Amino acid sequence: MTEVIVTRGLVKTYGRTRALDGLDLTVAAGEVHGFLGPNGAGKSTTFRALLGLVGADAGEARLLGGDPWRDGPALHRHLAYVPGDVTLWPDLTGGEIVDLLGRLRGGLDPRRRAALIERFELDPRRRAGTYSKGNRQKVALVAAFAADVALLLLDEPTSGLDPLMEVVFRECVIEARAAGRTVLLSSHILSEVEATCDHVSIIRAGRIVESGSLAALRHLTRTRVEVELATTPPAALPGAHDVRVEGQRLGCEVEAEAIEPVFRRLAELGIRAITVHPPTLEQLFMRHYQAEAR
Amino acid sequence: MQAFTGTGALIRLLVRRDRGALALWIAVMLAFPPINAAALARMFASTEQMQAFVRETEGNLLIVAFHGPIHAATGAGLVAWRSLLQVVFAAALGSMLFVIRHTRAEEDAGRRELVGAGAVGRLAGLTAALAVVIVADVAAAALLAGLLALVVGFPVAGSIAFAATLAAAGALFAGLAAVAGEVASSATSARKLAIGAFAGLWAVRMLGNAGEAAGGPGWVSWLSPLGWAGEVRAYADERWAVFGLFAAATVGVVALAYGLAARRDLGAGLLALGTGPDAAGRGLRGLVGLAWRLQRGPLLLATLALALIGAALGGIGAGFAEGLEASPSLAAWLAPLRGATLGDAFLALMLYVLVALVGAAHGVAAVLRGRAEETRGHLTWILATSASRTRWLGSHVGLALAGPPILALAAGLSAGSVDALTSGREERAAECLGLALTHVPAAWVMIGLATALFGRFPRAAGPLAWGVLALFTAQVALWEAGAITRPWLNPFTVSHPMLALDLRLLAVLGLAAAGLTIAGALAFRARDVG
Repeated sequence: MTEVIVTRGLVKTYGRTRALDGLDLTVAAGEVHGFLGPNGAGKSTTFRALLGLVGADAGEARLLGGDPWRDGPALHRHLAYVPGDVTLWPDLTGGEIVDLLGRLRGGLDPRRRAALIERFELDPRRRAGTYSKGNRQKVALVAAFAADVALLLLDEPTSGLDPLMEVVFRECVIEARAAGRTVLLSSHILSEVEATCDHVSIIRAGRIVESGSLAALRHLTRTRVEVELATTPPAALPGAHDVRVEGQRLGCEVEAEAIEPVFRRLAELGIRAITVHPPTLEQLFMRHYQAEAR
Repeated sequence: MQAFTGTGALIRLLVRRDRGALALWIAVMLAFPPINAAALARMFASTEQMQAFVRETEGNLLIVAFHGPIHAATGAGLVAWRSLLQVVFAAALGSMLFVIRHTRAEEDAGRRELVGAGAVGRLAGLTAALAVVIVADVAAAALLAGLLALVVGFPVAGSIAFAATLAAAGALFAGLAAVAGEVASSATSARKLAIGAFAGLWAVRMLGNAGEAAGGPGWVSWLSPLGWAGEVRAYADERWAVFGLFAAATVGVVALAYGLAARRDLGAGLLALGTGPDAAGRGLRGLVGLAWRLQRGPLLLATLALALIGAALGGIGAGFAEGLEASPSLAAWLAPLRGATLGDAFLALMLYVLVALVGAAHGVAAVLRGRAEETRGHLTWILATSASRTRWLGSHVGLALAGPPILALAAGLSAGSVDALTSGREERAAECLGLALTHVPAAWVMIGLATALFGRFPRAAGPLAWGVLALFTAQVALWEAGAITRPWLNPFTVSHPMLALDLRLLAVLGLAAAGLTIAGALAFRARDVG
């Protein structure tokens, strides 16, 4: 089994809203898969469908080789889920909730539990009603990372965490990948996705509009080049876009395929100084966000 | 006065959010007295009949305990006497729930923080909630006084006094609820505290009334504001001074609420949440452990309350050894209890109320606790583990179904054994227990219905389940009063002491409860969650 999550043409409607509109998502075993999209694009509905909490109106979803709607409880033994807005039982303590979720899943490793509580600096004796948003999130994260599972479904798991805890979270995701776990991580923090994920899917209006390895996606965006030349720059530079000339300085954007010819031409003109900005995930993402706004 | 900045804007927000519910609530309060006036007009063709009823009632523990003594043997006096319990109950409960909904529940939901960050003073929320509910109480009272004096044609002074009792009780319990909202650490515990205080004060009034009828001291009912409500004596010799007591008590509790609100931090409560164990104990092993943890508080509280109330009632019932035949109309009304004493009849009715009605309400609340788990997002969490939907539903509905038999045991055994010890008739313990258990299937039907609604119509399940229970209870009350014939499809008529017990019908109720529960589970398995 190389594919842990496969959905084909998944459709889910709520009244007139089409939350999922033919979703095709594939997550291979062992990868950390970033799941990006603007608010309301259908990320949380995707998680709910993958957990079998909502039934799809059309299409097919396979999770760990099973049908999440039919085989939910059996499949859930092998996964852990962290929602973006963790609500807890106010009268139970954090430690009790971690244990309860572990027991409902079929057991958890007590040593790992203790280590994670220490790393996330969680006070397990406090009643959940007194936890802040970040602390509630930590309870869910400890419960998820302490579980001995094949798949982690993380839906905006770090909302409310402070930067130090964000670092701990990233370490935990990287350790999970090293241990051979598969992770589906939805997030709005692009640096978090860049630091942890090797594959990314972008969802917009219930459809996947972009999917692939981070390297391949970078390929789709333009590299920004600023160069100071020994001679007066030419008016036209084949393969370059948005060319701006100011004295002997030239700025432009270059598509991945045109990098080599453009740099050959610039070298002929004599390069005195150069800065090159690789494409960021943000650029890629903004393209789709802005398309959404239009 | 900065603490009150923004009160006006909040008042408009509250009215905008709840104008429909407020209008409905006022309409319900106004409906009771005219309905009772119509029913009583049908019951008594002549003044002699009415006076005979009053004479008989005065010595009747069953009725006096609930409604208090009759102060005026006139049509208006009887309507006021009969309606007081209903009107005060609706005013107090509605006022309490409204105040908590707009104070503590807003805080729990995090909306108070959002509002508090704007140009809104610390005490504005509490002031707005109290202002709206007290104005609504007074408006309802003004409408009721007008309705009784001008439309029904009752004496003006008495109509004003009776209607003012509604406003006074509503305002006082609104203030008590405000205190509960400051003292408790969540809206749920605030509601429990406020309703618990109401029930306690109600019990004091009932014991005072019953004790006085049995020749005990008259001051016991003065210990409770619900006792004062009866002492206004509308349409008799109105005692206006009682409203001074109401006013003083209301000012006192409202001042206490403000004093607490001005000192308390957002989110904190006097009954704070302490620390607890750092790991889950053996009890919290799985779904049943979790459901028990969530449901045990209300169940243990209800069991204890019913045991205490049962014991008190058993003691009162034992004091009435007179035969039921002494009162021909009562004997006709409770025909199946022929040969029993007046005390036995009293206990039979009380056990019906405690086990069938209170047990059903407890069960509906227990099932809806599962719905609350869903709306709060906890269920998503649980179902993301290897817990199955059926087992999760089973854990909550199972505990709900366990409630009525446990409550029957508590009420029946305590009432019966105290009766047996006091009267020396040993068989009473088993009799009362058996009687209490016959009401369990009716409560189960309500639990099954709530489960079916939860499975099929989760969003409407709460209002629908409580609405049906209220409808069934109202039907029973009208049927008991002779205003309507036996209502069809009402499970609470089957085990009512007015009818001879039919075990086959009890079995039918059990089957109906099972069918509804299974239908609910199947619907729940097929629907979306969260």
